[in-house]
Amino acid sequence: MCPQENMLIGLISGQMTVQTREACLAHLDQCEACRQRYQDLQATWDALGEWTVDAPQRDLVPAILADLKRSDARRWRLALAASIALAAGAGILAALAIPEKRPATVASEQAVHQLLADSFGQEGELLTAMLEAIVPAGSEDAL
Amino acid sequence: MSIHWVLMGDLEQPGESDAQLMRRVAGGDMSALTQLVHRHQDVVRRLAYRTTGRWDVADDIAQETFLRVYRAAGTYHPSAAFRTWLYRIVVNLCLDRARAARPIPLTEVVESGTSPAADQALIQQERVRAIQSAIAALPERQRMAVLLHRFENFTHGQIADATGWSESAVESLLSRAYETLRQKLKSWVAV
Repeated sequence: MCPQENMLIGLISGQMTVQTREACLAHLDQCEACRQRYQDLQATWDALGEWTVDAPQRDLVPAILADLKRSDARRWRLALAASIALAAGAGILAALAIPEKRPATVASEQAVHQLLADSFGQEGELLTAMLEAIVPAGSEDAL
Repeated sequence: MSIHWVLMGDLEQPGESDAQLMRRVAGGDMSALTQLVHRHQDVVRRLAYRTTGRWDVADDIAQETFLRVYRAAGTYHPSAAFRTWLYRIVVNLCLDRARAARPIPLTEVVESGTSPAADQALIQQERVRAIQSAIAALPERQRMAVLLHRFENFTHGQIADATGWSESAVESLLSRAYETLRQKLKSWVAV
């Protein structure tokens, strides 16, 4: 029986057991059509091998380590900022519970928002949103 | 996983296996990550280049690959061959990038000369360009299968592991791909 295309590919790439290889070669000796298919495939295989690639010298390690340092620092900044936001939120909620402190609370809430924006840039906006989720705008009126 | 920025050069053992290095990476040892990058960066960059046709994109892919290796080190199980696991990351990134933009790899143009040697070089260059174009024109799964099989010497099983496709699917992809390449390169190939 004539070998399938994959058998011929296996024969050419050397990915075949010795027994199968011998059986395949024995068939090729007797089958002109398969021998032609095999030779065509071998020629294509050899031609593909002409595409060699010489990679330009480059060490990726410095870029990878710098990237990891950046993401590590960002993670720490976010964790610190989240802690500040939580603490500030808790403080404002506590202040709101004391009626005579309300005007000061509004001012301190704005100051916290400004501090977060100044200190953490874009992440500050996220933290401000977190803070507002904890202490919704106008919540002092509800108390 | 936190990073321990400790220089551990003195503790490096060049003979360590990839799996041993990965255990050290999982513990935050950056010198182990450095060794892994040095060991594999060239093959990763080459595969990415062959897929995308651009060195800047290939370097981005390689860099992202090793960042993912670092981040996943804690969950890596040595039961999976590191090379196969690594290639799985590269293959996914390459296919993602190739879907976004699919440039055809081109070799640099060599000025034609008047000598027979220069003519021969030009013909050779055109052959290589025809090969690159034929590979680049393959459907993406066939292309990846051929790149892994012909240029990385992967077996069908290894390709299946690296891509997540079944072995029978890989066999089918390779058969169709080589047949297409045989047809397209017929005029360039001397039997």
